[in-house]
Amino acid sequence: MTNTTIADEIKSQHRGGWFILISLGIHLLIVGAMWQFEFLGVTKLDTQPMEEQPLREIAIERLKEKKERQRTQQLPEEHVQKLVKEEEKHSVRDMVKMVQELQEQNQELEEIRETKLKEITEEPREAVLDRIRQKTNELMKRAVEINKYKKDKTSNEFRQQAVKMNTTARMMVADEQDPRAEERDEWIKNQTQEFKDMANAVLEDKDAKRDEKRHAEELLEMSNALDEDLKSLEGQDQNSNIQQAQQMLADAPQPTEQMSPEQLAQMPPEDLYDRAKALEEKADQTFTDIKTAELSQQQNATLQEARQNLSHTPPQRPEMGKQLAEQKDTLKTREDLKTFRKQLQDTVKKVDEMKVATADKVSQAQGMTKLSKALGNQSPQQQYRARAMMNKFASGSQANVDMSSIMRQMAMGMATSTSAGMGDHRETEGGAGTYSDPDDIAPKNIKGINIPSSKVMAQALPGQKFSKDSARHGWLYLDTWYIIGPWENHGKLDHRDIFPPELSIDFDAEYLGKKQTRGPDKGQPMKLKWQFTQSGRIQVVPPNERSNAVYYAYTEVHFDQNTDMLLAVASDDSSKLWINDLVVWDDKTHSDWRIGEGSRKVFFKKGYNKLLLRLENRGSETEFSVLICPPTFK
Amino acid sequence: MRLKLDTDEDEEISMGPLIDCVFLLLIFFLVATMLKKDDYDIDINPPISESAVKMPPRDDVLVIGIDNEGGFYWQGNATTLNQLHDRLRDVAASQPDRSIRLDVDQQTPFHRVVEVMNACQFRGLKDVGIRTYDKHYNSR
Repeated sequence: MTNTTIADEIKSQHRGGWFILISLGIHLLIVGAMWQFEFLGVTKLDTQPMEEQPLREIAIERLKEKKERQRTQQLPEEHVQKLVKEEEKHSVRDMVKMVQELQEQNQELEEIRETKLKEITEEPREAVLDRIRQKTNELMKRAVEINKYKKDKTSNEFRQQAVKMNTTARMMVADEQDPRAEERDEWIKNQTQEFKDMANAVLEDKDAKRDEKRHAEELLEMSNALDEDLKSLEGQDQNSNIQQAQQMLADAPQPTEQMSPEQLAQMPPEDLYDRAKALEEKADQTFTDIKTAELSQQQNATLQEARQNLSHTPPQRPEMGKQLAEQKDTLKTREDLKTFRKQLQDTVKKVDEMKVATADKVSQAQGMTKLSKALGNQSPQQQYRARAMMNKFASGSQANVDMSSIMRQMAMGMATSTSAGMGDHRETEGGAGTYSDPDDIAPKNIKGINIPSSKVMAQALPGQKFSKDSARHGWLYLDTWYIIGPWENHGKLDHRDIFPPELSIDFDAEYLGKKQTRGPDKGQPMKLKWQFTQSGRIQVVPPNERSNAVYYAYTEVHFDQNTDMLLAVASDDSSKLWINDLVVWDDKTHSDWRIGEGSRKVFFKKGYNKLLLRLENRGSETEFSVLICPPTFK
Repeated sequence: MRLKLDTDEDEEISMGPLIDCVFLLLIFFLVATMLKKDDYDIDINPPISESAVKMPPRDDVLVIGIDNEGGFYWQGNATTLNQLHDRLRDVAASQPDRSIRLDVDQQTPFHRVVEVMNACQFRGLKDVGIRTYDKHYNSR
């Protein structure tokens, strides 16, 4: 207990007064700072500019000078190190997640690559026979074409021999146990050798004309390609395609090292960037192998031929890791730190781009395995027949085809039962062979489909989202697309050359396309980027229309539930359409646009569905249309 | 006269002014923090509209910017078209009712605006508005 005197009380009151004074002073300081200098940059009050504010201007000028001094002022090394570490910490945290995803994506791609190549190693004899039939057919067509305008003895002999070879090829037997198989294999081999001898004789003949030699050379090259497949008839161990697939499996790159987040977090941002770059390159290489295997299966070509048809550009990324490391060593001022921070942000952004691009590749590669999964329990022969049948039914020669069952099967990811075969292969006069009606899931022709063009033209509405309860019924056309092109097709509509959009949909990528034919850049390749297009009518016209060109159009459609739909594709000239990475339409004919060119009954899964269309043009004008309609609509 | 003082009373410092001061500072910082809004602005000259409706600033609005060269921005940071589509898909899946503000320049190619609006509409993001020139805001 203490005694309080009047003096003490007065002293205490005085002390309270000081506190009031101090607090008032602080308030004044804060209000003044807020009003004049937008204190600490925390707030911005409504300061309408006054006509005369010399003091304010001077203050702002001084602030600017101060900031400029700070910007160029050299900072102590320790301070710089601390700030750099702080900045790097945030970037590393983001990059670690991305690099980890890239590692996982690589692992997934490696597994898919192995699966796809293993499928090739199980290639049945039927695949080789179909390749031989395809090549003898092409050889015969070319020999007939030459003989049409060159009616001399030599070209006539070439034509006769090629027709003979084609007939033998059609008579070849798939079953190796059949006694006719060996005999007919011998026939085709001998006939091919005779054809090659004839071509060599023309080439060695000194009296042969120049164009005769040119044609002989061309035919010899085609028969040499055929020869490669004939060797494969000796058995699976002699099949060059299988050997190449086995070689690719043996040469597989080392599995991607899965570094833990803790290990990755120890790495500086420049090393993380370099690792991400290496991972993206590796993923791209693996994906190219997967795509090559897929193409080989789709086109029934050898791996070597499929690779030649693939137009592939590896990802080009700047050496940002190196730049970042160099920049880090020279940091001295605030300005340097600001630039470093920007560079760090750009680096993180680039790694994010790599992750997004690779994720797209993984999604595509997964799409390529869907058919294999759907046919999981089938034998290699049955799988091959199913694929051949899919390709055959997708082709434009079949006007109306129901593909919904196999698409549903693929979307659901279920394998068919072993008891349900995909149909029997039987020889026909058609060359590549046809297949009898298989089980429930196989594509089949549908009859009674008639697209009333005038009615559709008058009533079709644009759309991208489809709901069962929607008030819009009947035909709907897809009006919104991202389109890219033109690439060169040299007047061929065979869809053989593969361009980047078939490998991955990257809206930010820039490609080199067809060469300019006029203007100051004549002879230079055109720079191509995806362009957003919305058409006001059923037909969609690509930008930069050129003759002898290839375009790609990409869009997505949304369904609120799993739905079967009728799909009508039409194009000037030819087109190919993928729905969720499955070819549903492949028309290689040179034709004008006609709304009822053909239709498919297809399956759209609930949610978003991807559509990629390849458009080929030979003449000057080109356009395409894609319409959908519920199959029950009359 | 002799004053009688209560000697039992404890001697105390008056805390009232100090508490006043502390509370005032607290209120100031609270208000100052609330005043700070993330505006995600990019360097554009927005279009002028006489009929635009004034909306109070909101922190939960998603800002997509398109500069005069057609470059895309997500919440004030430059982004790519691939990333924009991916992010819109994510937002549509997690917050379908999220409000979106488009910040576009007067010189932005119109097809770019249509492209983004179409992407939002396709993904089911319906609350999309366009920021227009505001004398009060843009003269800062």
